[in-house]
Amino acid sequence: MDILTLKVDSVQLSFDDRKILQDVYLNCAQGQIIGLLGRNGSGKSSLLKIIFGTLTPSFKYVSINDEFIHKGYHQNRIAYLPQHNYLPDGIKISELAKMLIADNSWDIFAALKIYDENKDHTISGLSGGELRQLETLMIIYNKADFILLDEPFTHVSPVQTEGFKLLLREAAKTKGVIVTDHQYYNIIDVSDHLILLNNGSTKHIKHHDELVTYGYLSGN
Amino acid sequence: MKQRLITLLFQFYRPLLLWNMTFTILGMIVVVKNGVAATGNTLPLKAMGYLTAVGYQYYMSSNNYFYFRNAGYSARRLYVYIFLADMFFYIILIILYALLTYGYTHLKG
Repeated sequence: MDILTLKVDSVQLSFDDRKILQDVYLNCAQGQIIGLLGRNGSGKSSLLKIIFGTLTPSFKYVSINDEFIHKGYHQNRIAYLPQHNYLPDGIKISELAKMLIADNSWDIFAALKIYDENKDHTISGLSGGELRQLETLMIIYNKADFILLDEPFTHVSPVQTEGFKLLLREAAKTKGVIVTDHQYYNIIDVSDHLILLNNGSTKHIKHHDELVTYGYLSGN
Repeated sequence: MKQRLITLLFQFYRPLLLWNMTFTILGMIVVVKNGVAATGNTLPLKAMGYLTAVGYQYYMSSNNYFYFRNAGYSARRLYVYIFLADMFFYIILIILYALLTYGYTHLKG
């Protein structure tokens, strides 16, 4: 199997003459977890939306194996976990899951306790935590070759976070993963490569000390 | 693949079904009252139904678009499919009505 590589380059995004992203470069290959860090308002979520294809910047180059990708979600190339809930109400969880989960992952997904206990419910029958957990799992086990996760560890208990990290490492055997969260210690722990968004540009972090140098972490 | 798209279309259309049916019924009332020749006049009514459906969905549940995108389909594409299907169904209803009235008139002599 050829390893696919997602390439993001030359993204330019401004809001009201304020440059949000201007010098962005990142590569994510199948088998890799890229951790994306940055302060509030640094453009992390915007960058993920641009890659997914739901936010249009003034310029972008997004490709998979050098084939330009206009909308990342077309033909299930890229899946995205937004910060907000995304599953529609009024439809059984089992019906929703069948549309998102990859055929070769179905048995593993269907065996999960959270799915088994809630498959006959609609989302209004779930707690906020259960819903977030199911939504995250439906992206991790999605058909897509690449998955983008925006704050998967927020509003999730520490035990579930550890579980997600294990599943992410497992998923990354066949997918490329880009993950961002303010819980930087979890991002550092789960990622193979760290990228910091600083003043609109990507800084490829080699040593954790650089997070202090760029002012993302305090030196204390 | 086809079955999956059909399921997604039903899931996407479900919240809009009653709304669009209401505009179909209104359109049919105009056609029944004024004759099949008035069909053209009902098209703006149907278009208004589509526009308000999109507006309602956009403001009330655009977060759900991400579910459909994660299934590989844009909301725009799904709107086009369901509105084409709805218009096809509407035209079929009018043709059936025209055939029935034509048949009834001729049987009556």
